Amino acid sequence: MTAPQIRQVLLHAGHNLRHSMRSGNGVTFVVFSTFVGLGLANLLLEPLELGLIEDLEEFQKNLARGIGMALAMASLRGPASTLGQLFDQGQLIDISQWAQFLVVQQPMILSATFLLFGLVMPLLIPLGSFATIAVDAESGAFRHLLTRTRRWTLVFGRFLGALLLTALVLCALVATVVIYIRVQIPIYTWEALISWGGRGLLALLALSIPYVALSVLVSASVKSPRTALLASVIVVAGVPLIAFSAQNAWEPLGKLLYLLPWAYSHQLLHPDLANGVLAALACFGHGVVFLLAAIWVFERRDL
Amino acid sequence: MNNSGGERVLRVSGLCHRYGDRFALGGVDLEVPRNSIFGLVGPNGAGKTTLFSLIAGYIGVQEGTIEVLGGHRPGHPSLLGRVSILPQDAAFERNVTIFDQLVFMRQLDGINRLAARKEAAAALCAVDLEEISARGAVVLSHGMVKRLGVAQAILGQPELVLLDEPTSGLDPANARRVRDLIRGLKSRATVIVSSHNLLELEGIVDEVAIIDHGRILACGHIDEVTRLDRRLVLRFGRDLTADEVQILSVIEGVEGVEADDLEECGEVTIALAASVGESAATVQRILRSVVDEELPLREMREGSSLEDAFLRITGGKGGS
Repeated sequence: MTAPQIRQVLLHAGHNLRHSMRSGNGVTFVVFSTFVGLGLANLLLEPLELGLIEDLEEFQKNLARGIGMALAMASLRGPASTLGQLFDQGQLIDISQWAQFLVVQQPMILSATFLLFGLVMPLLIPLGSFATIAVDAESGAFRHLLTRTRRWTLVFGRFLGALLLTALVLCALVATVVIYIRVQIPIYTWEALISWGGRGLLALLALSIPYVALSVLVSASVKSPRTALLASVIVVAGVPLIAFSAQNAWEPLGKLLYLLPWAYSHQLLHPDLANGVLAALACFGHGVVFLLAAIWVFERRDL
Repeated sequence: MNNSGGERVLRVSGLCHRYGDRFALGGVDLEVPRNSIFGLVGPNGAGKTTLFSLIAGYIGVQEGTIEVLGGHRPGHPSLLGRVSILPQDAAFERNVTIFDQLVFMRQLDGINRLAARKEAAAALCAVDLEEISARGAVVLSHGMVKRLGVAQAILGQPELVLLDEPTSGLDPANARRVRDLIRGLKSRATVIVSSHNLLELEGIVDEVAIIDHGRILACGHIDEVTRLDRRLVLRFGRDLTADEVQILSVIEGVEGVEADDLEECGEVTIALAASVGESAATVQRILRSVVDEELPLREMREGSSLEDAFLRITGGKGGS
């Protein structure tokens, strides 16, 4: 990549960020994501805030079981009842230790918030990225740019712009949740919250890469922005639904989950940092594949 | 189809393009000389915009070849910033100020922001949009959008400028301003302009191609194209007799004479069989005969025009 190409990519990124905010798509994404994100955090915080939890240890134990069950389902993908029995019988030692790590060794509310964000965020990200290509393809605005810039720089730049917007929203969300927890529930130190908050933020940022790239791919493939938004959400939500349904019929079909990071995204919060890094690299790889596909589609598209 | 000498900035050969089952272009051959203003005329649906889209690289070439600025295929990286286009019906971003949009486009060409701002301001001034430079495209009328499109097309130092219907929707003053801009571009760029306003094109283009149903029907210097249809229309104070018509028809350089009886006068249309220079002598001979025969001439007008040529070549039909 030459210096002028890097410059073009950065120009497109900045332009996309400004354009998405001015056009309202970005504002909608920021407002909706913040609302949903803080709402999820509040779900976990409110019982503690209102003093509804009298026995913190009991709450911690229940939360550890809930998280453990979720991790078991995500990792082993068996029937919930069977996994529940195994978990309660203490046969899922690794999973149990993992849940203990998240709930006991780390600020539990923050851990639970990150896990919830990891589930909901993939469905919200298309809101901030669906318009990156489709809007200008529909209006023909690209025609003013294509004699001045290479198509791949345009796609790559707009992807970076959308990623930056998502990253800003995530940073703001995590910072708000960390500060709020410290102020309202002063059982954790700043050091513990910032340390775990940083790890969780990095995990969410890594997780956002493939989903933003997927939205850009869909946006580059269709002409209508509305179709792009709908298709992105359907793909993100449809893959796990189909995979879980299909694996009941034939177990190998459960591997369909690997089409998206759903299959391994929980590993981002694994106690073993190496697992987390590996999962982040997998997210990055997924993102690269989707982005290259978006560039390939856009390079060949009649505009 | 053009055999005259000089460097060519665009060579199109055997270009075919179809949308599904429908042929948009069916074997277009075209050459455009450097630093000329080249007109592309044709009815609606003739294939002008498809041809522009192919040259600009918006759509892929299906069959045939296009060589731009030294043999490059459309969309080649070396053409970036050297080819610009006023596309038909391409929107600008609604909520970004038009000034910022032009600055952004110029920055993509690789120049710094300060210089880009100066050039963007100058381009907006050239199309009389400087007063609304801080507004988004959402407030622009159709004519303003067209002028903004022209501004972005002349931004920078393009060597080849493609203008698709640059004056459509403009008021007379702004249409003249755009025509002057196009004439001014000739010193530094080659301009290909498509238009339905044939009289307007006649005043600014050096060469012209007439396209219909995806085929080039005529191409060459504007005099070469229009001389095929050069004619003189004379209106007299009375109907001419058969003998008087006969006198006009045997003049050297006259190919045919058609006489119409109008309500209170007679009109004679004389087809001239010569190029511009030669037809001038023929016109003199006709006038001498008119004076010698003491015919009551009321009005004379030259009927040869790009419009006439266009209507004759395309069979006088409207667009599809």
